[in-house]
Amino acid sequence: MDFSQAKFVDVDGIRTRYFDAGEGELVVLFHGGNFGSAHGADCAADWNLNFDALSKECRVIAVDKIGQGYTDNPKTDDAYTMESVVNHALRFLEVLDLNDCNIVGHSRGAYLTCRMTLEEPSRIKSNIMVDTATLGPGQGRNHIVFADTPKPYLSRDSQRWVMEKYSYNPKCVTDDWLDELVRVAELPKYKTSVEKMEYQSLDQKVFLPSHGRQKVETYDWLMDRGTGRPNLLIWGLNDPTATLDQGFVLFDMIAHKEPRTDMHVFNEAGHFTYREHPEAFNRLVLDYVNNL
Amino acid sequence: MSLQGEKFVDVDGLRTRYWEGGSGEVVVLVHGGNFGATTSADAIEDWGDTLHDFSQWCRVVAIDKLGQGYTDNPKNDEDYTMDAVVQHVYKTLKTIGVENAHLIGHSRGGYLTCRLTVEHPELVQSCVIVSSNTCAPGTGTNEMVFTNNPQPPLTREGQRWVLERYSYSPECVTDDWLDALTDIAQQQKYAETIDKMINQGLMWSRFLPGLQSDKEEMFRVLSGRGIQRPVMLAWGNEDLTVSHTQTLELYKILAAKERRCRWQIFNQAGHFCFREQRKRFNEVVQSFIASA
Repeated sequence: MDFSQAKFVDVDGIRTRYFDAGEGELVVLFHGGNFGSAHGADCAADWNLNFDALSKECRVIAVDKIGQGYTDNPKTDDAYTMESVVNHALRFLEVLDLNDCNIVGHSRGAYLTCRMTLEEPSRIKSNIMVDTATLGPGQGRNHIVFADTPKPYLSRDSQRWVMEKYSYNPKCVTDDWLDELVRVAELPKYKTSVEKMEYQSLDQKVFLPSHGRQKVETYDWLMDRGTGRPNLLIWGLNDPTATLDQGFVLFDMIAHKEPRTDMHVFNEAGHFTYREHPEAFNRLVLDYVNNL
Repeated sequence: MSLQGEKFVDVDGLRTRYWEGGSGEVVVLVHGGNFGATTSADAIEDWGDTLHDFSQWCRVVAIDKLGQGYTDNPKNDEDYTMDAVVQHVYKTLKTIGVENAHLIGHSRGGYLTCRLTVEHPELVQSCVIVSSNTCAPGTGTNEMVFTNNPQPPLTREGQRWVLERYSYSPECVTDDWLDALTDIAQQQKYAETIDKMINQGLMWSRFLPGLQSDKEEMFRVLSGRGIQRPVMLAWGNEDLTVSHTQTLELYKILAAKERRCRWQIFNQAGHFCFREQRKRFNEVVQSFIASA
């Protein structure tokens, strides 16, 4: 994944970074994390072990979500919500006029793809979700796993520590990935979002409460009418934050109204299943979308 | 009515039925159930259209296990064991010249393929275990699910009742399948196995105790040196006879020593997930074997 090949597009006044390569079935990747996280500066580079290989067999797009990577922050304080993330992602598909999208979301990004599918399925062909306590019922374990994150936060060493904690095998935390996460964390706009979320407590006051309320609504929709699109849920056995039992309950809820729902578990995989098993993960996703 | 394309081979004096089709890498299918079962008379026909689906991309070899379908009964009481069933499949493969194969076993057949992989790793490239509480630690729920089954057993309607209880939707219990299993159950040789297993009690004096100790021995190997081959569990989400908790125990045992260990769950599928999610089963297994 060549970071110098980034493209930018204006999405309702939000300058948005994305990567776009290959031809064929369209796969759109949405990374995890959220703006202003003091633990990790997730962005499209999370997919850097998958992107190039995928682009040889399909058209793959990886986008920085609002306020993350090189994409602009939300314009106002009250827009520091998951709702903004969902709206921005849906508008991104519209602005680029992307159709028949197979959307793949990781962690918070899987909450995003599920919500996109429920809210505005017209451009969406299938919904693939990976290791997500944000969408899964109950609480994730992040606050426990990352209680002792070393300071200074978001330094290279600190982010390495976090990503290794997430992982089964620390080797999946590669230098080129860390380089990009550190570059992102040092951007003034990222520091602004950390200031807002962590120190002005928008995290506690705005982001988490709005997400909590929306999550209840999301479950109502899943149980009442379902996603209306084929779903694939992918989980790592060794994810310390989003646990497999959470995955099973989520699977039951998604499967309740949508018959075309599969679940697939990988061994020796922490939170970043696609980084720990890039080849097998790509194969699974490509065969899945090509067989729809 | 006989299965189109069925073949017979002499395996140490036991006339053995098998079916083969397609070309390429060899994929061996081993059905479930056991001789003398009073629930259903399982045989190659359990696989239904899967035989033809698979023969489009590999060489499929499906075998009637010892004492089931149209394969001869064990020659003496000592062979009313799971071990004799395992050895018979192994010898059948040797006899028809299969040196290396991907094994797929359903239910009791899933235990068999796992056991064969442990005993004869040189024979096995990968192993897929389908909906098998026989292969998992702990207790299955068959006794509970099949209480009060219609009497007399093994009539067409009796088997329909059983197979529907196994399934998410009764639609997968097709007429041709029922016809075949009814014919099988009406053979004199099938009545002999019921006499042995139930009336003479070999089920409780020999078969189940032997299986229990064989299983514990197998788990010791799986937990010791490991299965040493790519392995996938393929499960129906609505199988009343196996719980995800029980399967998770099996998955953890396999995963502890084998990185290439996967678990696929199909929605809206009971015990015969390859019948109820025929297209997805074919795709997922093909994809797994391609990357194995």
